[in-house]
Amino acid sequence: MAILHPEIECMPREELKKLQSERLKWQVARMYERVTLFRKRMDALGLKPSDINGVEDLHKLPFSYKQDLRDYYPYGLFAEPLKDIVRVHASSGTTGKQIVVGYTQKDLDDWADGVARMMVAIGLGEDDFVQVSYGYGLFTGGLGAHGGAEKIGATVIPTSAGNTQRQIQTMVDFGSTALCCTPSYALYLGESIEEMGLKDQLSLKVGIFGAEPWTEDMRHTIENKLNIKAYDIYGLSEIMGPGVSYECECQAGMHVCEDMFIPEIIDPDTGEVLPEGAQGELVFTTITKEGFPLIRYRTRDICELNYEKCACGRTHVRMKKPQGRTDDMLIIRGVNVFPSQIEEVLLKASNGAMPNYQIIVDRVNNNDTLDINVEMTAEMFGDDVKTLAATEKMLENEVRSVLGIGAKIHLCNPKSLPKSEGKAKRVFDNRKLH
Amino acid sequence: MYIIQLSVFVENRHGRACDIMEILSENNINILTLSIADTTDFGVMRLIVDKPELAKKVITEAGVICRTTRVIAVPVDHTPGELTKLLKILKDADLSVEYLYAFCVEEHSKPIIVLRPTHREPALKALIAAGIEPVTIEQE
Repeated sequence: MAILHPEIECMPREELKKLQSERLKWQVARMYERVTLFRKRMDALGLKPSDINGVEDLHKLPFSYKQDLRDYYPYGLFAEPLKDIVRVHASSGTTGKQIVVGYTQKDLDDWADGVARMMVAIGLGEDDFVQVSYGYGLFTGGLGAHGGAEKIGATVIPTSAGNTQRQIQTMVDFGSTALCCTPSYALYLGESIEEMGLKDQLSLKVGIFGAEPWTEDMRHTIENKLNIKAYDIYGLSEIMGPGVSYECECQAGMHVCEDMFIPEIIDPDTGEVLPEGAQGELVFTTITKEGFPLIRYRTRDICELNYEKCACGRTHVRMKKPQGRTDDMLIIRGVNVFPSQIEEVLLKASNGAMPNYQIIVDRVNNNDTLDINVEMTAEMFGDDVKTLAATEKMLENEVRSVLGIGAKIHLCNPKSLPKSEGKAKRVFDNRKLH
Repeated sequence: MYIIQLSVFVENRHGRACDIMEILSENNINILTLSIADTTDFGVMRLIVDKPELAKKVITEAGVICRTTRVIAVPVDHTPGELTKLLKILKDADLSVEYLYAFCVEEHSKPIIVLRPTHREPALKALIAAGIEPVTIEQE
């Protein structure tokens, strides 16, 4: 298979290290000057940009956290004047407020380049029709895949998410050869295509799936149902979006675009960098990003890195599929959900008297379901069904507006749910994703 | 002029109705009638019992949400057209009915319609003006 930039993607690791070191020094120096929070943290550690001489000094630098994005919302962490920011994207924060990231034109070009590397690696080119069924909008999925497909000169079919019947008709009529969406949506599409009896009319060759955890079993099912090869893509808005890492044709881990992002694996409790091959929390440093750079960003994804050269010829490190989270974030239908967001909704709706609740996530017919059991208070109960149904509806609307995805609220009797004192579990994720 | 109705929140879960009956029978509470309004997720069980206050207490103690409400009970003849007559009075008075159900007790020879109008006081007035006398029953 082809390689988009062999000189970068197959760069000997010693050379790559030099490139990373230069870029890291550049990034640290400019961020120290431009990002107040970063400078404060450096000063607190008694560090000057001149103390950072290369990647070997990376471990000295302070971590950054999702909470920072909330604390400096919306633009407090940007490192370029807003006039040079050409786009923003947003993602879930740990509470009701979303987090915002920004891109310069060069950032968008780099992002598209990362996705383009993957598309070339799995055999796509200018003759292909890439159907992007990720959601377009503040979510990075849609426009991220879109940019990569344009970069390789493919024909983009920007269907966005939803309206399955039309998705399938478009796929058949327009001759889509590649599909980009969440793996659960790919499964759903696959099943619908089988039901409609259209499988033999598809031109699909490959699928690029990400934004949520999926298993090898799911991969095989998707491959069978759509008659394609299914590839994994990884990313997060804080770092860039999809394309931070991706599978090549060897499907033996996801190559991190190491000329742009330096990954580390740390012990989530002590912050110590762990030896090569160990499992721990994945941390990223963006060394080329202009608009919204981050140093040592704690992804909370539990992961492993493999530095061996890949059979494809690429030298860039490969990361395993994330094996879980160090926080309580859930990914439901591709959307990041924090239980604290749901708690905030319930707290507001109940005028500060926090009702006991339970969050249950499951996967039914390849669709993620979110059910929230909420204990009622005596005051909430009239003798009619209408009031209760209206309460449920109100909570459902509130949850949808905060999370961006729907949930089913179930009112239940007081004290019928396990108490939240101590370590009682409020969140039950019954999907088998890892 | 009213009778006391007990409304109980019933989660849509296997055996839930039975659990509530058990609480009532253990406390020697007799049910004159009941009706269940159900949705996909939960139901509201409305009961006319001989000891509504005791029933409310024991059901609440069992961790189940319930409350008492006053409803209108009207005896009707057991012949066609009786309910129509009753509802027409409310309709003509511009009143609506949230729900209704019926039962019989030995002391009354006629069936009794339990109804919960949207506006209780005006409904009562309209019925009395039309010559219909709501009944009370013995409840502790």
